[in-house]
Amino acid sequence: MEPDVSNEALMKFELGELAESEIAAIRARLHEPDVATRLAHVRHLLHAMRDGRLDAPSAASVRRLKRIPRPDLFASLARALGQAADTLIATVAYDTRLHPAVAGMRGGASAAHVAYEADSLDAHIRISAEGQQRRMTGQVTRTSGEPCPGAVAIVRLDEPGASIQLISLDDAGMFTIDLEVGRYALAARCGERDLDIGDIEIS
Amino acid sequence: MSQTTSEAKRLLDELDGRDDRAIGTWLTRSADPAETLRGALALLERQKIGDPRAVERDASKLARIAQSTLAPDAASDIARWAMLTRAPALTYTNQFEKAINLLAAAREGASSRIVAEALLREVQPLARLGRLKEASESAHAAARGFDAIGVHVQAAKARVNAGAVERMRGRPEAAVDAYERARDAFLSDPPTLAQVDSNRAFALIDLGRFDESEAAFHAALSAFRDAGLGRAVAIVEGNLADLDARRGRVAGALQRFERARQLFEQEDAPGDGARVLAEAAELAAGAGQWDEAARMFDEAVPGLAAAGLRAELARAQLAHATILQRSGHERESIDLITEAQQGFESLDNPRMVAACEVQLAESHAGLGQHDLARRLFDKAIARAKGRAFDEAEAIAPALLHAARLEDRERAHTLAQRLDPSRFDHPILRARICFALGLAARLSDDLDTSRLRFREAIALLHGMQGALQADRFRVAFMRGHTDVLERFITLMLDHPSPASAPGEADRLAFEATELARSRALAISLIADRSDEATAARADNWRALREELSALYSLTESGEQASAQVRARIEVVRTTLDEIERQTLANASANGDAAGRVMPPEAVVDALGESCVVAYYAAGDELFACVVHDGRVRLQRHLASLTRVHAIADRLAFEIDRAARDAVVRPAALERTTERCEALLEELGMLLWAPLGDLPARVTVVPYGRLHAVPWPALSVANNTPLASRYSLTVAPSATALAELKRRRSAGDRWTLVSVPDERAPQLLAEARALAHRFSAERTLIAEDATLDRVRALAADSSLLHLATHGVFDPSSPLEARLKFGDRWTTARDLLDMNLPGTVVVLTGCETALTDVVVGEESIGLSRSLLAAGASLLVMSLWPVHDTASRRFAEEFYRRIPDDCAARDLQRAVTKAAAEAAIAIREEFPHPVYWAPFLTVGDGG
Repeated sequence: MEPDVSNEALMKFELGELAESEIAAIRARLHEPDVATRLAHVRHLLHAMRDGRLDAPSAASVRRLKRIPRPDLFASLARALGQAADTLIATVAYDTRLHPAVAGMRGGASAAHVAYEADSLDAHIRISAEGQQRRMTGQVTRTSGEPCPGAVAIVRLDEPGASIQLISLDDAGMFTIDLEVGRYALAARCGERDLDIGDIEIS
Repeated sequence: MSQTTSEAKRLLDELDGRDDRAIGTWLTRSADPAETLRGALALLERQKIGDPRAVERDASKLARIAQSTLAPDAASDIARWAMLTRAPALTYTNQFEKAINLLAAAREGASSRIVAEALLREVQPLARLGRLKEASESAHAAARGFDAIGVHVQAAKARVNAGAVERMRGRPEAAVDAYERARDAFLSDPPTLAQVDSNRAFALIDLGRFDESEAAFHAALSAFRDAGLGRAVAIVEGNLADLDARRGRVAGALQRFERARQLFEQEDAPGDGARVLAEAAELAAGAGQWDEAARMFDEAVPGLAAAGLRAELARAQLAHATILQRSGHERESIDLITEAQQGFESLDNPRMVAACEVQLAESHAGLGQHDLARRLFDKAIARAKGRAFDEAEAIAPALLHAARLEDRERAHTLAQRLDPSRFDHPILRARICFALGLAARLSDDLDTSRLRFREAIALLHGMQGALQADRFRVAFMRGHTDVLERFITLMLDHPSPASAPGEADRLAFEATELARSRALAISLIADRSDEATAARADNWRALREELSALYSLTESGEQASAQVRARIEVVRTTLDEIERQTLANASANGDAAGRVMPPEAVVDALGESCVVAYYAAGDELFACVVHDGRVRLQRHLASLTRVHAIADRLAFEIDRAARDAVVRPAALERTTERCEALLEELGMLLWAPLGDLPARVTVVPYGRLHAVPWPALSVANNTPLASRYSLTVAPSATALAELKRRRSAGDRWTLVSVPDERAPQLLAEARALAHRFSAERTLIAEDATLDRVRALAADSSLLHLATHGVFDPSSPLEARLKFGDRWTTARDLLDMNLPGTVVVLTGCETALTDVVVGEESIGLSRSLLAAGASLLVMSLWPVHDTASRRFAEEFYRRIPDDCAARDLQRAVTKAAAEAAIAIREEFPHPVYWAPFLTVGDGG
């Protein structure tokens, strides 16, 4: 069996920091789905960082790169909606919890708002508080803003054995769910594609 | 000091340093060696009770000395006294079995006196082991024994012990009898008599004889004070607090608990401090302050356990379980109640076991296990039989349970056994009235049902008004909203048949007003000096300064560090605690609830004003339209769930647009239509069915509808209501009627602007408006300190605050505005004096509130209205710097230069609506033009 291609090597490959022989060795492995997928994640991450869209890699990217197992949200989506054509990895475009206020506004928003982007899909999530209850309102659309049929799969990560919930997107691509404070993993189906939104801490 | 006593003391002093023989020699020369030895043992018992080894060593030595110096009989007597001496020290250190065995050994072949003394000393270890029946028998036997040999003071002490045990056994009548029989022996010993009276008072509480109990506690309090016994005074203060709490006198109880807690702190008595804290927590829980109560329980429980206060520990567990049950954590509550029940069972206390069964029944009912709940209620009722108060406390919830299950027969049977007039405890009376109201409703006796509900509500409002501060009043209704909801539903579905045409709608409106913003209405008329005093306390101010500095660290636009956030939490909690303590010592506005305008007077007080007051019964959203002294009910407007869903989507779109407006304005184009569609959808549901309305309308929203941009709703052609109506929002019609009594004194305007690099247009706004404000009443940047703003605001008819705003839904009293020297929170604003002032705030989210139970909305608006403002212009979401500057310019352009103070509110409301429409052409997305709302009296 061929030795594993490390993420560090993939990162250097993408950054052009490898010797020619090393580049050739990696190219020879790119037909392997695992190596190709991880390279895509590395590439996505680097692009996002170059564009200044990230202060830190998204939880999903970190999880993928570290190969941390998680409840299989995609299997749930597939069972309910059929197999997706492909899976995109979302990156955080902005998170008002990290940057509560920006120039041009007279204060910040009290509800958290996180925007995600992927190659052809966007997702927005708003988390508002009412006592101990938290309400997540979100929207998943094509990058053009056009809604598409689909659903969101969500599972609580800090509660062992928590079951995956599926919420259908409405005509505008929106969904709402009441949640308790905790850590959750999120994925969505929009049209023929799945979107790995990643983990989100609800405090 | 008698010769024997002084010799006993000397004997004890010299016990360490000299050998037995030398002491024996000295002892033979004393006046009465046997008495001297007994005296020394008695002193030893008192002085070294906490050190059983020292007591055993010294008592054994004295017994040996007796053996070498006294005749055999006398020496044997002293040996038994030595055992009697050792037993209390063993008990004190929880070696109960050892103490009991020692006392049994002492009794064998002993004189009547020693037998009686041994019986008296075994009462406590037996009781601590939960062997209450044996403890009671020993105490009574000791009393008889002492009486038989004429030692009446000891007999009385034995009866006092018997009284304590009888109370623990749930036999308060026997306890009162024992205490009363003991009293005579202590008439010449006021502190001891006071102790007996204090214990007797508790037994009287158990019997529901509250007046006699209060008199007994007061007698004890005054005796302890005269004797300078600080710790005893603290204990009785705590007891009186407990009595006040049981009688539903929350305000008095809070004051006394706090006094007791402070006294215990001075006396360095942590066990007692924990007990008082647990009792205060119980009271806080009853008053709806659940988070605070849970925190207090957490603090008190280790102290109770460490001090071995088992009964108090079980009671704290039971009360804590009540909070869990009421906040929907039934399973956790059942675990805790079971633990408490085991505690009370081991103490052989059937009274509290019954209380546990009631609580268990409620928790199981909450889980839908109704048969089990019914059986537990019945068990508790049977156990409480013969004790009217306890019985009522068990029957009332059982009746509520039966009525909710529509079990007519059981409800009828239980209702027959309840009579609220027998009790002077307002919460119990309110519960009984509510339960009877439900039972009457089940029997279709609607008039009785209405009367009972109304009586219950009046009792609850009376208690709410007696609380010292707004936060206590707000919290109070938690756990008491059921009666309000049932009353409203009854008034909607079954208006009084006797009422005149149109009267039914009016009665339904009055019912909704009773359920809404009562605490705010009280705050609008109550004396706020107590809260202002709290705000001026030195440590309070220092912590506020620190909090302000911490908020400054979070304002840079970046997320605050974990350390900063943690410190903010610590400071907030400390401030809460200081307020709780300060306010607990403050005077209550006892009659404030009674001074709030009654709902039946509100319609007339509103005169020609038109008010649209929304409310929901279940999922049905309805509106009461009040105009020209009449009320029109508009039912079935929409499903509340549907309206919430649309409002949520709108909030989502607006929040996203607020960010897009500054980061990527081009993205707004595709969401403008979507927002407008949502505004129209809401308008069609909330406004269109109301029919013709006059041009000036005050909206009283319900729940989450407080965050709806009412002037921006449309019913057709994308035309905002603002273009046709002059709309104002008010927390309740009653609050509006109270606000209408306010009029501004004078015509001075004050401008405050605190710009920074993130919102440079704040300065541009101040410059653009400068011509409307005098230079000496214009405060810019660092000149705009809280103190200076407060000073100028005190005689301003209009105050313009162009500064950043922050709203924190997890802590709405920490909603804040940026001033030149600090962040000023909703708490700080309570300390302002605004003489009917119109306040215009052009920062972010200044109108947002957290709407808590009882339709009380907490945020900047509440504080400003409570501080005296009559009308506020505020924003519902993060506002755009430039668009808001433009709004302010257009707004002031529409207020005439010569606008008289009496016309100001009306002019401001109209100007706010017109300014929004004016900037809409320039900034078409609602995120720009629609955030501003007028709140209060629109004139």
